[in-house]
Amino acid sequence: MRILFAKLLVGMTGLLIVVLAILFAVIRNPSDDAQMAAPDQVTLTTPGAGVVAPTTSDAKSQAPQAATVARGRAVYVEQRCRVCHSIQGEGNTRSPLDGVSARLREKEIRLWIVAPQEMNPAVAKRGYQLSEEDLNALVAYLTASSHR
Amino acid sequence: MQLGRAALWIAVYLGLVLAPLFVLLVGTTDTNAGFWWDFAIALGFAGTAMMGVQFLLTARFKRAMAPFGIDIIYYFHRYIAVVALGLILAHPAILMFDNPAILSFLNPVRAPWRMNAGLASILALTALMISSWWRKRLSLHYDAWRRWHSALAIAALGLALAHIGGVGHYVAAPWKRALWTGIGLSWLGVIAYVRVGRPWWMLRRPYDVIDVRPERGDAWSVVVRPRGHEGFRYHPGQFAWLTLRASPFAMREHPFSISSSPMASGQLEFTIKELGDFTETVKTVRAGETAFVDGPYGAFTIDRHQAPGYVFIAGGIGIAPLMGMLRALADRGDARPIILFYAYRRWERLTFREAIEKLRSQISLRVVYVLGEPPDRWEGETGLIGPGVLSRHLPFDRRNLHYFVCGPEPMTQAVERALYGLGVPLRQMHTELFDMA
Repeated sequence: MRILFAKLLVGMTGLLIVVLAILFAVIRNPSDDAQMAAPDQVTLTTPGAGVVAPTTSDAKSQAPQAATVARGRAVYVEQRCRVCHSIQGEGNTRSPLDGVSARLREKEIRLWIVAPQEMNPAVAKRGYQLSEEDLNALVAYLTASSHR
Repeated sequence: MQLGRAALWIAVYLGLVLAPLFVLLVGTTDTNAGFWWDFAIALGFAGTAMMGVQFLLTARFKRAMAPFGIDIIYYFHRYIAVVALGLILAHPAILMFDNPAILSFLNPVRAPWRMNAGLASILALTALMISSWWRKRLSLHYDAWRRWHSALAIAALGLALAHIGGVGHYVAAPWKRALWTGIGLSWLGVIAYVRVGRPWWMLRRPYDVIDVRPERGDAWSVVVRPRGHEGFRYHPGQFAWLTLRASPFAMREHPFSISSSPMASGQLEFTIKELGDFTETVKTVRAGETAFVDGPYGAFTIDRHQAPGYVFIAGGIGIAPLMGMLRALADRGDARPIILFYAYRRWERLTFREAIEKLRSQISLRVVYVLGEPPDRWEGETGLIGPGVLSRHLPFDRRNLHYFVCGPEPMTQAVERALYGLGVPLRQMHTELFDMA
C-alpha cells in the first residue's frame, strides 16, 4: 500500500512536470503558426508596393532586390536559423549575424550555409540543402544593408 | 490515504523543481525556436532541478519528513529518479529529432565542452541508476555503493549545471545566471550539510555501546547510551541510522528500528538480524565501543493514532518496532487491549519469545503465533498470516482498531489485502517500508 502510494505520488508529480514543461513551451511560442507566418506576410507586401511604385530606373532595380531579400527572410525563418543565430538582437544572441557581410565574403557566407565544415572543420553545424534560388535569397537577406 | 497532505507535498516539490524554470521566461526575447525546442529545453531544466532536489529528499530534514513518514520520501526519491532520467534523456532526443544538426554534438572529439558536459552528465546519471536499481544483482557492497552513489550524483548535477552555464543562452541575463548559480549553490549546500554539517554534529554527540545481547533467530540487540549529552526523545516504533565502528563522516550508517521503550530513559536498543554485509558484523561489537545515532525518524508509531485498541502484525524481524511499542505500552501502564500476530518459521528461532511471554502478564496482550514450520504437537496457527488466521482471532470491534503491520513486503501486502477484505478501513492500517538502501 505504501509502495503504491509512493508510486502514485511519483506518477502525479511526473505528469504535472511534463504538463508544465508543455506550458513553458507554449508560453515561449505564442501562437506558433501566426509567428511563423507573420514575417512572410509583412515582407511579401513590400514587393507588392514596389510594383505600383513609380517606375523610375532606381525603383526598378530595387523592387526585385526587395523581393529577394523578403524571400531570404522567409527562408531564414523557415529553416529556423534563429534557433542558433540572431539579427538585431532577435533570435539566439550567442551567434549574431549582424554585419556578417563586413566580416565575410559572399562566397564564405554561402559555404557557412551549405558546407560549414569547409569553413571550420570543428564546427557543430549541419550543411543546409537549399535550392539555388533560396540560397541566393538567403545570402541577399543576410547581406542586406539594413542589418550591416 | 493522506491525499490532502500529498497534494501539498507535490505542490512544494513542483515549486522547487519548476520555479527556476519559469523564472527564465521573465524578460526573454522570443526566439521563435518552436514548440519542441522549448519543450525539450524545459525538460532539461526540470530534470536538472529534479537532480538537485534529490539531495534534499534524502537529507533527512526531520521537520519536513515528520508528517509523512520518511520511508515514503525515500521511495519517492527512488521512483522520481526514473522520471528525471526519462526527462533528461528526452531533452537531447527531442532536440536531435527536431534539429538533426545537433547530432554532431554526439561526437565528443568535435563537440564543444559544454555539450560534452551534458553528455557526461547523462552517462553519470545512467551509471547511477543502474548501480542503484541493480545493486544486489551487481553484488555491490552497500557502503561502497553509497559512496559511488553520492560521487556520481554530485558529478551528474555538476556537469548538468556546467552544461547549462556553458550553453548560456537561457541564462544569458546576469541576474538569471546569478539565480541559477544560487540554486546550484543551495543544492551544494544541502550536500555539504549532509556530508559535513550533520556528521560533525553527530561526532560531538557520541554514544557508548553498553551491551550486545544475542536474541533468538540470529538477531542481536545493541544497547547504546548517549555519552555526555541528552540523546533524543522518540516515539515507540521509530527508527534511526546507526553507525558502528566508523566515523559519521564515513557514511557507513544503516537504518534500524528502535526496539526499546522511550520510557527506558537514557538508553536506546536496536535489534538487528544477521542478513547482510553489515548486520553480520554486529555480533563482533563489544560493550565500550563508540556508536553514532541519527534519529529519530518514521511515522510508524501508536502515538500518532489514538484507538480503543491495537493489532500488531509482525513477520520475522519486523517484530523490532512493534516490540518498542509493546514495551512502551507496558511502561505507560496502558490497559488497552492488544493483539499481536507474529509469524515466524520456527518456534525455537522466534526473536523476543521470552520477552513477549513476560509482557503478557504486564499488559492486556493476546499473542497469536503463526509458524511456518511448526514443531510436533503444535496446536497454534501455521502457515502465513492471511484472512483465515486474522478472522479467527480478531475481535468483533475490529473496524475500530488500528493495525500496525511490519514484515517482509509480500507479507505486508497480503495482510493489507486481507484486512481490507475484513472491512478494516485503509487509514487504520499502518506500515513502513524499511528497505531504504
